[in-house]
Amino acid sequence: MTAYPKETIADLVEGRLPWRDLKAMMSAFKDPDRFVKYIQVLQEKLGWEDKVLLPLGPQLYIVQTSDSGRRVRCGTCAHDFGDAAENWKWGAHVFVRDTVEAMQEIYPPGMHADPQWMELREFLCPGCQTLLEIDPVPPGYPLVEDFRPDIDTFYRDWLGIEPGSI
Amino acid sequence: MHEVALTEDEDLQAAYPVHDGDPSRGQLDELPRGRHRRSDESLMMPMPFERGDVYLSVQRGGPGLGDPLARDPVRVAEDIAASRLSADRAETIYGVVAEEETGGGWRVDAAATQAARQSIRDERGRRARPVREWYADERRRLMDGGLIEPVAEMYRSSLALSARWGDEFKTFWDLPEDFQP
Repeated sequence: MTAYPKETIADLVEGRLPWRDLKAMMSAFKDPDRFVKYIQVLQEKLGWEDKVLLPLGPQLYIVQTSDSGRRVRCGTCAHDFGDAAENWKWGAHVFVRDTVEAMQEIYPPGMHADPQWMELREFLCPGCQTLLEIDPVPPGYPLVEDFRPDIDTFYRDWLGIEPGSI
Repeated sequence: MHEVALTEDEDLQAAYPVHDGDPSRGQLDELPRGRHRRSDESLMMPMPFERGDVYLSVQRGGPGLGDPLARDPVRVAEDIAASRLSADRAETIYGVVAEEETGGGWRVDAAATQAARQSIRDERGRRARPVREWYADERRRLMDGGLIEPVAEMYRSSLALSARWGDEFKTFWDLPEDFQP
């Protein structure tokens, strides 16, 4: 059965793995303990006392706290985005690119959407201004919720362990 | 593009101008001849073309992942050297200041990069606002009919097509049951 040392998983997370090794991992059978090692690597990297349950993005994590349940937290500055059962974007700041001028700050002329048809909502961490997500949506569209993971089912039925036990 | 008149012998033997180089000033955009018509629609209906006319379809880049400010500046400099990214955009989007070296490589100016990234963060903080504030304004725009007709029509047809989607939409924005954009 495929298994890699934790150091290899850490290199994978940090993007330090040479392409040849990465390709071999991609082509091999999935290592069954990958998720456990992955969470261990994230936990050490973040240095938090609270348990990391699941990443929601490159710099956004669901953690298990001892006093306030499952929360969404910024991986850069640990800002709290609220209860993990809610869309974390309610706890974020947003900048909406809905003018041609704002579009052309990031796109060459003629290569961006018409902002009356589609705007860009840039969600930022209020604590450190990290850009966490961008929703390209028509004006008037509700807040997009990327996904709402069922953590208990994922841990118990898929991994066969209790949430927070890694 | 019509009446570009790429009909001279030397035009026909040379490579056709395309959109290479700086995407804000592609080769074809810079061509002084012809009647340029630029279409932002992603759909072209049949239309007549004459000898010497040029049709160019430009593909845009794909999306990225993560905060551009989190990308290793050395990797950004490699992108500039490989012509995947212009030095101007590297500075305004990735906050990476790099200088060309003899031999075609690009060297990161670490201090200037740190300052550029801080200035982008400051600007983000100045322009962004709490999502709940945005929500109140966006809801008001919806109630006031502030959408262009094609977008309003899209919502009207979605409301008609799916009661479930309509419920989610109206619940999210706290809209009256009979709301029509």
